[in-house]
Amino acid sequence: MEKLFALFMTAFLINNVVLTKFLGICPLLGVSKNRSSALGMGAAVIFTIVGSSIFTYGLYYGILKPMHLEYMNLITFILVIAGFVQFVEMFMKKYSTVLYKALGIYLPLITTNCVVLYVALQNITDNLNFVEMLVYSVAVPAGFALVLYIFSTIRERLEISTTPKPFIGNPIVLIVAALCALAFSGLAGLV
Amino acid sequence: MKKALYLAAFLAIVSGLAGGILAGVYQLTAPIISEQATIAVKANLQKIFPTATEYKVVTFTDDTKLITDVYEAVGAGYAYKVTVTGYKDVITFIVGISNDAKIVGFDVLSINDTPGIGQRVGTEEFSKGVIGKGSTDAISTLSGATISSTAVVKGINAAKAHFNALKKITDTGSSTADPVVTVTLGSAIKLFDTITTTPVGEVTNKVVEGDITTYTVSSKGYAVLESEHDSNPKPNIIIVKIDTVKKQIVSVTFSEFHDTKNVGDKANTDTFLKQYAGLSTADTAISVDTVSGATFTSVSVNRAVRAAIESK
Amino acid sequence: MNKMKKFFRSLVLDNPVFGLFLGTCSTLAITTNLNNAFGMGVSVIVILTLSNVLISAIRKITPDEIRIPVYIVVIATLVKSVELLIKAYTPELDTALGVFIPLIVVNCIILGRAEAYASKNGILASAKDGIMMGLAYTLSLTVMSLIRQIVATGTLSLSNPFNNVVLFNISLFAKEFTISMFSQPVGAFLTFALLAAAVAAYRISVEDKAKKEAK
Repeated sequence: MEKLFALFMTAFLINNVVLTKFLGICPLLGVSKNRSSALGMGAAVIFTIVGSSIFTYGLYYGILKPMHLEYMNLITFILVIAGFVQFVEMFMKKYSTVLYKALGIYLPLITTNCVVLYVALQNITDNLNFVEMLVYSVAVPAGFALVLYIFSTIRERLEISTTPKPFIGNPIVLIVAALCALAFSGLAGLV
Repeated sequence: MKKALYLAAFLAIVSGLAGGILAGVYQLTAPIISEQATIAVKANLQKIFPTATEYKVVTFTDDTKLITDVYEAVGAGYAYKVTVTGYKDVITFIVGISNDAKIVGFDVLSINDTPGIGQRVGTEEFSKGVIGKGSTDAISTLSGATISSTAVVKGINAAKAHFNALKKITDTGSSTADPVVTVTLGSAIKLFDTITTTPVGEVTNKVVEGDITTYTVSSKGYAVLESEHDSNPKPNIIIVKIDTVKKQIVSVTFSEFHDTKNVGDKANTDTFLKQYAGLSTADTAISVDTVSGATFTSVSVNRAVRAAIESK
Repeated sequence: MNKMKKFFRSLVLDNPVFGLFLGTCSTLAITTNLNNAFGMGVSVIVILTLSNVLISAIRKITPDEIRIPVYIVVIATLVKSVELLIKAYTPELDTALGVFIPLIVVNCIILGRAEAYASKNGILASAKDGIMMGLAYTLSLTVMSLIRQIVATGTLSLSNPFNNVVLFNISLFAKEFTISMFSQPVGAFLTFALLAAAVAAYRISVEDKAKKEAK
């Protein structure tokens, strides 16, 4: 139990996927403009990663490994992810049109969100068992969602402050990211 | 419907082609990749098995999960890369067992323990007790570097177990038994030394049976006085039997031991405790040799005995 | 001269990394030294060019509805092949770049160019586009690595990835003056932000000039 908690905290905060591993920057720059879309995207990513992780994990250990086709992992994983995102898109279109419209082009772009493929690959590389895989698949996107939300709150404030002209838009967000990374690096001694 | 079938077929063909190309690349690179794995360790393997010309990676199962890699030095023996948890950090080492069941090599690849203490596992002091031993012989730990050396010995035992299973050598159990812990006695400390004046042992119980009086003494040891790990440290409880007529200590034994396992409990051994038997309680100069590496616990026993002697 | 200026301008302003913010993840993660920058850059050039060529070759027979999955399969095959080749012939590069080699699959630049250019143009044109974009990306990585490596370690070094022979190792200033923060995530974001701001500033000055000339 302790091990699972440590796994969760490490993936969620200490080795935060955005601020220490530099993954998920594109959606961060694109979607963190206001709080509601940040929350929506965060939830969508968590759902996508948990779902696709379960499928890719099963696919790897059920089919690829027994057939000695481990090298097909990249192609099959990304196809599974693309399919799953398509499914999420259809689901959202039907049941939450508001969120669907808010996320717009960024919803299909979850497929190319580095975090999704990263978690799918790491589940295999780290030799996680099924329960550990579930914990990890929730912790990592939760960390992404956390940073996304923090950034959206900061960005809402940035909108009304005077930023130097060259920095308006993405550069100032990256400076904010630098400061957050510095803050998060202090969490290293937590577990 | 026809369109959907066409789409699916197209995707399937593309995927099939892709898979075929990838399989080709994989066939081409797989042997080189597995050779890369041995190149990294090759230098170490060469040192242990200089006569071998070919090294192969061996697939293995290991329940202890300590062995990370197994290599066969063709014609010479087997080398095991083992990772164990030492006192502070992981210790990675290679142990080589020759085909005639003798440990021919032992090399520590990385260790981060305390210099002069745990680090001794990487020195000749330890390796000379390993190299030359047979695959069914027991290996002793290092006195004073117990935690690190016990971990390493457990790792070596795992390697020996795999080797013995492979070569179908039956082990009398030396490899699976817990490592033999050596108890060396160090410097002598008088029972009535200033060091035993405080904190005093507390006599909690006294039973008189004719000539023999049995004292139950609570004495603060390492856990209470020094250790920062324990959230609820307890003193050791020691039973001291004194012959009040002969004015001699009959025996000293532990009723409760609360100091560090594998370290302080070396004082809870015959080697140490038998020293007390026969000591005169009228002599203020009596002394025992403390256990090397378990001084605090040894002194706590001294305090207990002194408290028993001095109690009225 | 005008052509050179135009070329330079488009290189800076349409720069995939600092102008369009594509492929940011790998840029931030691996630009700690020149070796990594060149290794990643060359890999991307190869993959991008080949993927552009292949996708352009099959653009006429690929049904529109499944074009994205087809592109993904092509790109993934190329990436995995490159990964296996790197693992076999330059293992140090593999350890240095780590998970970012397979993550080239989701590098927005490659899928983006496939969708925006290769699916609509001839093979030769697509190849040229792939090489140019790849070079622009490599240049961005190189600039960022130069800054980060020099500031963080005070030295500049490069070694041959195939046999680890050091090609040069120049020490530019003493270790006391290095800011090791630049090899950490903080420094990565900071350098990226400053370079992006520089590009934006250049864009603003160009636009202002154009507005003045239009008046």
